[in-house]
Amino acid sequence: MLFIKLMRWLRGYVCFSASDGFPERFLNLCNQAGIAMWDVAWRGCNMHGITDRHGFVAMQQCAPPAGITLKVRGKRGLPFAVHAYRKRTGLLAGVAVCLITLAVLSSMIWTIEVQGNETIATEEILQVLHEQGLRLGVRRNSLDPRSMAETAQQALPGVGWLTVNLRGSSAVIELREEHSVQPWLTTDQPQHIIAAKAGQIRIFELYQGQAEIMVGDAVYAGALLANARMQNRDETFRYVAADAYVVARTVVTGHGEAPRSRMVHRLAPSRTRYRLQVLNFTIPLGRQTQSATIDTTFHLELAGRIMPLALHRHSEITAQPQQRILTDRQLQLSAAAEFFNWAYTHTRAAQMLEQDITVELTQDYARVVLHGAAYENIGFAVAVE
Amino acid sequence: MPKQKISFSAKVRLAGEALDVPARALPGFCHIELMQNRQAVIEGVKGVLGYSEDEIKLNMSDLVVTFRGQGLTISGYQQEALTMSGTIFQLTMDNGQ
Repeated sequence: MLFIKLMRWLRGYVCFSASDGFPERFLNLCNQAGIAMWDVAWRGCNMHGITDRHGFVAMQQCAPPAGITLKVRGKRGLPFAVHAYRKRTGLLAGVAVCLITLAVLSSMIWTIEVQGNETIATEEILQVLHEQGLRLGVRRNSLDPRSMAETAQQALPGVGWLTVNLRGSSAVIELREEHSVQPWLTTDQPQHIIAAKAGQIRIFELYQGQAEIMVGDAVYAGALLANARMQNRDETFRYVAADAYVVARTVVTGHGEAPRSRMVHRLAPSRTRYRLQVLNFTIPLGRQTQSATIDTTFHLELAGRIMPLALHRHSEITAQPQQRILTDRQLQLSAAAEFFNWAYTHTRAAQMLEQDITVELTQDYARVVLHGAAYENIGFAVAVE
Repeated sequence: MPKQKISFSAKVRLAGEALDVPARALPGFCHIELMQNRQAVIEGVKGVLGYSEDEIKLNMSDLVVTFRGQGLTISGYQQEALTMSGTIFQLTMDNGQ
């Protein structure tokens, strides 16, 4: 029904009212003349209806024989709308220019979006693709996304997969980074298991190799736990990749320290400048600066799509170095932050059994010290030389 | 009793029915389709005999079909097809006998 209404609007239609005479005869005459009519209804003493543009002209021939008086109630549709502006050539020229501009601009790339990068900077990816010809304002037909993606993937280290999708006037670069695999000795290579830390063995599960210790033994850092050298029955030796799960009770000590006096950079009140980017053109709003700035870009988004309209904000960085003396409270918090940083690095894989945390506060520094015991996996593989 | 006169189109229709010719191909075919009592699509309309807000009387070759109701509107009328809408209360067919 919507399509029918659209077609009628495109072709134009006339709303009419018929009064007096014989409406039935009028309907029959119109039908015989092949005039299409719809929405014919009585409103009071008048019969209202709608016909198409050409039908109304023909209808005027059918009205007198039926004694009908026709009145036009309205003319609607595209032909009548265009007819009203037929003398305004400037308007038509403007519409034509607008359509041509729209067609030309639609064939160009106006937004570039990078998705899927975690450690590789977006600017680095864009720079590589810029060298391949992908930039704002370039014609879409002149781009070869497949070869661009292949070249960019080779040029960018750490990219496992990259593709360039052209969607309308947007170029969307999707990529996946390669996750670096921890270098580890292969099982083919002979290796010993040694103690990474001193402690008392509590769990010892040997998977391969020759056991050198027992549960309950005390070991020092670097002690051999599982030997790669194994004796054969004929009293010869062979080397294997020793493997074992070794948990020991260890002593854990560490601290976080913060000095009371420190050099800090205090940010001065910054001046902010804006630039408006429309398509490929940048319009400076106010006086620009050449000093170091923090740049922030706000893109206009419509329905989740980035539009070729952006506002760039440049905030000047003016930092003054300054000597700062911390109060006791600030000093303790600073030392605690350092301690938590150390604890996260050194004890996150350990199961703490007992711990004693003390805070030392002096005129020059604050120190948070940990003394404790923990269960830790101390097995560490080293290659046999 | 005088013999009843049969029209030519009625004769053709009788012959067609005897020969299993599809009804749509026969002259004087009319087809009425009702959608509840809100809309009716009528094919084979030869002319409109009467039209008011409460009644539409149609010439369907051998039949005169009268729709009575409320707010009856001719939604479309072209060739021999007429679509009407409104609230239909009564449908009467008269073949002149």
